[in-house]
Amino acid sequence: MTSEFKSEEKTHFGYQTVDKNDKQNLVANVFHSVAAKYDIMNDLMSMGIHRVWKRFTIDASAVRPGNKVLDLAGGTGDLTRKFSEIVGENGQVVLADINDSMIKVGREKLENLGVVGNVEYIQANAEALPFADNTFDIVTIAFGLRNVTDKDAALKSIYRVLKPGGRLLVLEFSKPNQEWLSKVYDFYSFNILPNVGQLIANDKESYLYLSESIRMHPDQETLKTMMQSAGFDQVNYSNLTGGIVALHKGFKF
Amino acid sequence: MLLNAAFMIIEPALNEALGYDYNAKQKLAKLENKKFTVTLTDLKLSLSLLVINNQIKLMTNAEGSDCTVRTKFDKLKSLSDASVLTKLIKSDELELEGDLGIAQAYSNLLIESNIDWQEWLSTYLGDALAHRIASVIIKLNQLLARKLADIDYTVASALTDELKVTPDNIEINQFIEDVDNLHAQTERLFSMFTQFRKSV
Repeated sequence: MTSEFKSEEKTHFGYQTVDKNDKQNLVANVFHSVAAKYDIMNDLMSMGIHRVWKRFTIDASAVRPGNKVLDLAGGTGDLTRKFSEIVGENGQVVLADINDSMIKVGREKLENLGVVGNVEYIQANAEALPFADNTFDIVTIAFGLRNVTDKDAALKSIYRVLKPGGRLLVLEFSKPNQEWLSKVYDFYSFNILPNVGQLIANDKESYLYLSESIRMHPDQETLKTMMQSAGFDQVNYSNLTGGIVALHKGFKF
Repeated sequence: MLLNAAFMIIEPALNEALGYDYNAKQKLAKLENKKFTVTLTDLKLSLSLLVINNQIKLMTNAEGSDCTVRTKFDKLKSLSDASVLTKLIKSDELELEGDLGIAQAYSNLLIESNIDWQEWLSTYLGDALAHRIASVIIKLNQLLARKLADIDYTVASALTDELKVTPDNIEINQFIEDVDNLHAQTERLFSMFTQFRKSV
């Protein structure tokens, strides 16, 4: 009973085991640290491919004018910008992130690009979303779910705020489906990426956490099962770039 | 995903090019929020176009399309010819779902566009150089069209004139028969001549 209790109170922070209550602050510190250089690091780390992954996500969302979209862990607003263009003045996009530094960077960037009028910014925890039931047509969470302490609670919370017929799209790092790719990817993640982080953002630790947190994140099939357990129907996923990233899609009926 | 990567290059280029078609704005306004999808059944590929804020968005997702055309890749070219559409639909080679007017409006926008390439080129190269390049291209185009017309005429007239003097099948068969007869007569004459020599 004691060990069970202990395991319930502990969680992963990269390869470390930490108290559940501490993870949120630890993750917040990582993102406070990387927020200013987030976009340039994304381009460098993925060699620009993250733009194609995000475009694929927008495509899979089948977003239409007038839709109400929640961009969870929206960060610097790459998805919000695209959604805002499509939903138009009759639609609405809510960029939500638990980290206020990321929201500030995202808000400044989008306002400078003239993305205003149909975008709202909210600091929110994905595990307990501050929205009424059945509010959104589409919810996306791109490269954010692995940082959430209680992923099951987050998926249930997302399910609650989705309208019937609405869909969730989870874009997240996953497990490469080729052995050779996995080895190359591991070498890149643990030897090159943290050093690039040190060079550009002067923060090796945060980028080491990024690599570790990716390895600790559920693989494609596990996440699919988690989404089904949270109530989502017709759950499927697409492997992108050999499974380095996967896009999971599920519907609420 | 490769298609999405390609769209990232094609989409802005397409919208920029349409910006130099002075009639495009009016055509785009009519297509605002209208989604048109072409599904190539043999390639299992869908391409959707959606106009948002006078800009074309390219996507692979066909969901919520206002007009969908399903056909094979080799029939794609026929889409621009309205007279062939009915024939293709009747022969089940093309399936149409939704508002045909949207398909025609997209076809009108993309195929019958009148893009001012010289204006577009001038933004990168300046007016003078753009004008010279455009003039050379126009002249080359005209020369090519003239040459093609010449070749067409030469081939057509050669075929027509040759046809007049070309023997038909009956004449050819008759000629072959005459040659065979002549050959046989020559053989007989040669044989008679040989016998005559031996007897002398």
